[in-house]
Amino acid sequence: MQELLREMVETYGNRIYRLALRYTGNRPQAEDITQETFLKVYQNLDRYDQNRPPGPWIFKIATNLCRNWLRDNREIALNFDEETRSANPGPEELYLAQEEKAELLQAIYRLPEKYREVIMLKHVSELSYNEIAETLNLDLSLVKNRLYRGRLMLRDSLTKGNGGSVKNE
Amino acid sequence: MNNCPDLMMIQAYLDGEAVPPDMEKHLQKCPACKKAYQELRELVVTADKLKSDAELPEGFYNRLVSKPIHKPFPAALVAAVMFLFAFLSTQVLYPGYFEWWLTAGITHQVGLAIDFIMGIFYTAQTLGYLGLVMITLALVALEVLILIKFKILEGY
Repeated sequence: MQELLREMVETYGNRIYRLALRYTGNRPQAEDITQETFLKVYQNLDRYDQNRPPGPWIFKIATNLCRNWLRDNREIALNFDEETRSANPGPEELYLAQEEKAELLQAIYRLPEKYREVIMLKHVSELSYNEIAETLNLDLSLVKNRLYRGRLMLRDSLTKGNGGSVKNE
Repeated sequence: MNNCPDLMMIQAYLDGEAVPPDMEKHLQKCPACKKAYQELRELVVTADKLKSDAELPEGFYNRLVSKPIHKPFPAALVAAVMFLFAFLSTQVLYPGYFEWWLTAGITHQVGLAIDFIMGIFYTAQTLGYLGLVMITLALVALEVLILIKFKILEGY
């Protein structure tokens, strides 16, 4: 059992952590969510069908936890981003890149949940269409559609939302 | 151009999903599709800035396994003890006293409920210990079934 858990942490741990980090913007919280995800995985290991890849199941647990976190901490999420703001500013370009990233995160928080979840799973956790569909219990066509519309909204939100300060790519 | 791929297909190509093999060629030749491709690519590049190369903090796995794993609450066992205690108490209590205590100061609006409870009480007295144990087991089985059902509904 522990061997299986270790394998899962090795395979999915970083991607879950990144997902949680993007949702919470803060490393300790992200680690907490990742810990909780794998605790739930471990508690339910006996009920998981070993013939199927565990990815969607694990990402479903993680997405649920992130969704709950965001629901309880919306204010924090909208006003605070430790990872992108506190860390070493470094050279000017790097600092600009960080500012840009913070704006991107604000934009992602402003998206409706159903688009945000698909975008996060695709761009942060790098899942395939099929994996996203299975994780969120959606039709494949719906995944493609939400991905497309979510990306459009993200771009619009970025260009409208902050006076064009992210124009220079 | 005929048989141009639709937007979703071009998006799938950008996302590294399986697409028809001649897609790349077509995108080079067809100006309309090329334009769509470039527009979509810009969207993907923007969203791709969300990517992160953060790694799990050192010692994550050790912290994970050192946490006490909470076993599910032994609800069935607790329920069994409570049911059994309730049933057994019907054997020792004096029903007349119990009935008086229940009805004291209560209007007849709750009379039906009390009749029902007393019904259970008197039935239990006629059943004997073996019957009580059987009923307890049946109730616990029912509860376990419900618990299992709920766990499935949680979706984990």
